[in-house]
Amino acid sequence: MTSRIRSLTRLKAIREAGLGYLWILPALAVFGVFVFFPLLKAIWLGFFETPPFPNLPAHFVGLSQYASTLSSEIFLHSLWRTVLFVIFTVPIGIVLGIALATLAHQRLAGIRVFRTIFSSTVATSTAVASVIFFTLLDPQVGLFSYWLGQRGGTGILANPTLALPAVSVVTIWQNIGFTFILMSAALQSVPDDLLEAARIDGASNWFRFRTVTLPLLSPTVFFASIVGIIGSFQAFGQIDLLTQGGPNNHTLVLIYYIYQAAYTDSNYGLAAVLSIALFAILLVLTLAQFWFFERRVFYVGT
Amino acid sequence: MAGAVLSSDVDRSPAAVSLEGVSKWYDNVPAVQDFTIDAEAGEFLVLLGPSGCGKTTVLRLIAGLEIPSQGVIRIGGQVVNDVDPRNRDIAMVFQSYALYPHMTVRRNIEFPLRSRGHPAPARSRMVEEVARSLQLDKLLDRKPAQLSGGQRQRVALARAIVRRPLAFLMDEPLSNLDAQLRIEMRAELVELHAKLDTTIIYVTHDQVEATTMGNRIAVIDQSRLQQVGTPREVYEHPANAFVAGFVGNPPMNIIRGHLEGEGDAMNARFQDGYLQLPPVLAAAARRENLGEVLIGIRPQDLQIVEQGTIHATVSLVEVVGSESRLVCRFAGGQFITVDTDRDPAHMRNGDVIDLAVGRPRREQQGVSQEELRSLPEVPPEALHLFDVASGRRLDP
Amino acid sequence: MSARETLQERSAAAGGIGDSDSGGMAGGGSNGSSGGSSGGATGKGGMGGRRSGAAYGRGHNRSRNRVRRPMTMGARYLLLAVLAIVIGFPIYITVVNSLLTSRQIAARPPVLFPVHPLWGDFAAAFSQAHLGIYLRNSAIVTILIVIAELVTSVLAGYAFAFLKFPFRRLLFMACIATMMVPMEATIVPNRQTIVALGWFNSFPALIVPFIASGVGIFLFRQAFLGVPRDLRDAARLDGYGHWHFLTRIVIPLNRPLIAAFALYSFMSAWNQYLWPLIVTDTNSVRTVQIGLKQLEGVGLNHFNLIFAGTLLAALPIFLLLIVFQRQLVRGLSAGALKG
Repeated sequence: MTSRIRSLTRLKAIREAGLGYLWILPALAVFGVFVFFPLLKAIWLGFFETPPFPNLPAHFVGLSQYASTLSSEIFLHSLWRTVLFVIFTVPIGIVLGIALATLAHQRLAGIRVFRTIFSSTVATSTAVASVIFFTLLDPQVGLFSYWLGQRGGTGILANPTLALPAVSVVTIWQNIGFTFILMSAALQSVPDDLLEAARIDGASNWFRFRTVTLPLLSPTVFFASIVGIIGSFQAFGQIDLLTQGGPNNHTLVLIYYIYQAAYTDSNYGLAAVLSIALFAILLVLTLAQFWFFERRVFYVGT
Repeated sequence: MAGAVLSSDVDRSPAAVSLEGVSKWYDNVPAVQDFTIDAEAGEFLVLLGPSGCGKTTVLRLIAGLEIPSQGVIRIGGQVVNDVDPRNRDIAMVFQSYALYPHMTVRRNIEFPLRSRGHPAPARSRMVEEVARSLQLDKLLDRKPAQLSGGQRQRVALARAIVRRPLAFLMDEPLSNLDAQLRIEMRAELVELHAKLDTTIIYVTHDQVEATTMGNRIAVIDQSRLQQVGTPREVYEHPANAFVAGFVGNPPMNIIRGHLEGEGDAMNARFQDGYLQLPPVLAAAARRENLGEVLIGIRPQDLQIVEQGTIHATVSLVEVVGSESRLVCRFAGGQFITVDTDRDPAHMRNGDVIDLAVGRPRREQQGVSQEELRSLPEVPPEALHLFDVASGRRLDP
Repeated sequence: MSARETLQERSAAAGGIGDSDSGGMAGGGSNGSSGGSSGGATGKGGMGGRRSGAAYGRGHNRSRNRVRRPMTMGARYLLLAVLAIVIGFPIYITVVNSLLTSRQIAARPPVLFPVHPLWGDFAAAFSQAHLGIYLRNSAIVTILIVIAELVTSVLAGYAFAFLKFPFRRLLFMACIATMMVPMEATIVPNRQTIVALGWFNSFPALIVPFIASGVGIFLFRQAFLGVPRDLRDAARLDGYGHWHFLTRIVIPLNRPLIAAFALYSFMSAWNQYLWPLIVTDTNSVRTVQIGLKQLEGVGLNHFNLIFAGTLLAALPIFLLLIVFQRQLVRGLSAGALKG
């Protein structure tokens, strides 16, 4: 009897395991082919130097391509432009988001209209936002160019000093809806009685905001920062549609450098090395994000 | 719940449920060990035990939600070890009721019928019939969240009944109800059992529930079956010290005593006094050659006397209706309870009292004060002796 | 990764099925904290919520206590209006320009209100700029991705939550780990794979890489773990296997989360840019976002087409957001989990 029970138990377990594997199989297959395999392959491709002319075989150079690329002037330039882009977009976007959310967190007639407008850009894609600003910044017919007295000439996007700030403005604008919604939600969870108490204590609006509201918003601010930083490292569409990395590589962020290396120059070895560098940076940022989530759960738990 | 519960019920005779040498381990941790028990057809069998004793696992094994590591389970004489839960034809009522939150009451009750291929008109007739008998007919279009605890309980019962299963399994179905409702539902379940003429296996940790509802009680502790019997048997002849302490409210006092004395005259000595054992029990103890025993005395079998051999200090006086219950310190720390009909007014914390074993004797005509004051003879049925090591009962 | 597991267990313990609607991102794991970035607002319908303003609305009543003078009503409206104009202007002017001719668009001073709106730009966007094909392609790609992603994520989430099989934990970790590999880092080998499969310029190239989602699997597993075991047992006794339990109990119970995830999935699929750019180069399979890039090159004489095309590309998302306001915050936050 015992052995029959054992085999029966095993049979049921096998059937359940079979169902389990069947149901995770589609996801795992896709991950295998389009996530894990290419990641390993990218590392591997980085060991091979692509020859300057097509049709010649790539030759194995080991780690030397990693070393030379990651220390090259153009890589460091690109990394610096990326960091600048992050610095331009993330802090301003978050401050603006908090300001809008705070302003819209009032009991005023018609406030819903303002909330709708502030959150509206969440519906735009990078391409939509970029094309809208492309037309507005057009040196011939663009309204912004007209108002900024930049009519004619090569335009703002071709100006080495203004190109990256301009791309940053587009990015901030596109993300403001998301940040606003995030901050509004956080603000709504600030208990009114805390603010009431501060008010009875005679605190000014600004003092109350700084000492009560802002600390309570800080987890959301951190979350939005990490998400924003990761997003800016991945920003591609606005560069491609507005400046193509120019003028004179002034908007050559890392991701666009990868794109150029792979599809303009067909230098797959270089592109692979750059990809791995991007992956490493984003991995650290993502881990920071996970760590943050965990810490927050911990707070809730205790 | 007037009238027949299911007028259109086809002739469905209840099935016996039996477990033979059933064990269940989880990663070498035993949940149920060597369990052998028969629930006769039409019986109301209660599995009683403290939480974590394995009683729910027994129920889940019968339901087929767990597969036994060893042993044989039979329902209606058929071995069901390798039968899927859905084909065992038994219904279960869960402690949480396990109602599907997104379905109306009607859909909840109907749900088990849908999987069994009953045609829609038959289904709705069956649902309405059961709903009427459980007074749910006005609630059929509500969702569980809109129901009270008692109503949810009825829906869970209806969902079980509508299938006309061979047996019902109930896992602490009343523990989420408030005290008043629980007493009412106890009566209703007993009525329901009679009307349905079915086998019910009922799990609870509440010994009052067990003794009031069950035809028989199976007491379980530490994954093992301790005793099976009618409520009276279990109460009057607990098989071991655990059962003695678990069944009965307040619990039986269990005191450790050294045996001393010769022949039939044997005393159990405690730190605070001694107790003379009745000759039959003395003989039993001598036969086992024991130096120490556990002595069980129910609170109502202790009475306060003026001159006794057991001394205790009153810690708490609790008035229960016309009677009072004393919690006393005894034998250097242990608490014992004494139920008495004496007026508690003159009892105080810290009073030292003398106790004797025996049914309380009321002051009545023809009994002199002398006789009342004298020590009553210790009735053998008021004392329960248990082996110290195994907890096993010593029978005369 | 073991610490990550702790998070899952915790949030699993925290989330019951009843509150799956109000739970925040990560299946309830992170909602309810002091700054709950999503949980609070979800149940109240996006960014609605009326218990605001205690701090600002009545500030002037307490003039004795104030340290600084609060803004007057008029000043507050002015500030809001200025910000609304700054943020709303690009979309507003796009709408206006889409109703003008190229000549009117280029007129100076600019036309800021369409006195005689023309609808011809939209028709021209379809006929001259292939917008119809782009939109159709985007619709095909997006809808198939959303459906397939939901199916694979729900199935895998269920398997990881309810079924026992060897290496379950390890495989789950592998799925979670995909959240840390951004698509941008793997485009070079992925494009080679697509070419090797013969999928260049085809719908499978645009769809297949996105039909599995680590975020989705993670979210659904968390949510499904919150389904009480008693419900599974009851369903088994009622005669239902895993498939019916999934389709009749688990999915209906988690409908709000599934909707939120579908919204996120739709938005990210519709808005894809880099990947479609590198695996397509013909109009027959180009999506509308890439179509916008093509539109960019139409030249000054057809500038009106750009505005009409841009609006059409954004329209489906606008409509979706209006319909699914409730799921918005949650969906966005879920998406933000992806690195």
